Amino acid sequence: MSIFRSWLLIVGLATALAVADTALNPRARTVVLAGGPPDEITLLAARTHRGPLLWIDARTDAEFSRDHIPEALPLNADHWDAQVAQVLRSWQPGCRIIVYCSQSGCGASRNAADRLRRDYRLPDVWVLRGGWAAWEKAVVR
Amino acid sequence: MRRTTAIWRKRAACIALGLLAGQWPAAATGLKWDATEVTLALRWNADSGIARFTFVNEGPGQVKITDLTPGCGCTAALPSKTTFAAGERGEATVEFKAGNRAGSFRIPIAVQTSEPAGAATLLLIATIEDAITFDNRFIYWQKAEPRGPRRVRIKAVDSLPVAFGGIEVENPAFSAKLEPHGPGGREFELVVTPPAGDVSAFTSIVLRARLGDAKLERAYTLLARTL
Repeated sequence: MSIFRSWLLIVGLATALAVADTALNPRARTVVLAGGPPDEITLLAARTHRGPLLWIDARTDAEFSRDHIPEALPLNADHWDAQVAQVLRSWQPGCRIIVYCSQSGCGASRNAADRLRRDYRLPDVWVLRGGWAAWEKAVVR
Repeated sequence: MRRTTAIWRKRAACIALGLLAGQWPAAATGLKWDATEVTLALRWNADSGIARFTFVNEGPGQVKITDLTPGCGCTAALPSKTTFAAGERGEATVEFKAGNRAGSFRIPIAVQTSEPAGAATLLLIATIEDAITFDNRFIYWQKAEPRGPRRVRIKAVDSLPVAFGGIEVENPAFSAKLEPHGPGGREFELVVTPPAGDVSAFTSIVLRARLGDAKLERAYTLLARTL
């Protein structure tokens, strides 16, 4: 019984320490508590969206050539002017745009989404949470 | 009494081990970055800029930066010292090439060190001043909407001499002309007229400008479409 109580005490103390560390360490707090940016959309939400949808691949041309989400259009900073023309030819009013790059935090998708909203005044532009990595993972499953 | 003391000794030993285990990752992580996010502001005529991510090696031993990979072809890690002794300060430097870009860009930079838990992701936020701003770069006319001219407001950054060299409209069914707007020669309006009738059409409009006293030539592309 006393051994059990000892283990209980140790586990309790360890838990308390972990909680205290999470509460006091700003990095850990960010990881645990922060939600995604407001313009991020999950793959599930993207797939269940009813209405026209335009996938935009903000990775490099080489990555796009290897593989991409079906019917996605490439749009990266290296060939922006030519590629954005193709995007805007395909876009229709009421169409939702979802931009993705390699993975969470890769930056290119957010850059592209920001430019589409700011420079081209497109509404309903989202960034795919987890990017291509999330798509690949879902397809493998 | 002796049994109670022994139990408490065991408890104290376990707690001490737990505390040490809890502290181990922090002790093993050598490089402590002063800031993992650095902002770089570039003027419209800058070719490139250098971002510096400074750190101190807080670990007990030497740490080597084994890899520094920016997540964009527009950036390059600059060669610099890679091995840092305990307590030594250092920096990772990354060059951002502006090219013909303008606006704000977020570029992640993956760092690997010789330590098992030494990976970090830094973020470079580069903001390149717009020499010329447009209130919109895409204008369109919905189906059955009157096909009258649309105006795009264009503004040059303060104190920048601007001369527009020409307008190229890819699809001749559209027309575009530039008109000065207001005094000072810093604001203009691009007036775009679509094809008459209920037809679907698309065009790019390239506006060439010479900027500054050096008359640097830049091309700006706008897009127009009738649905």
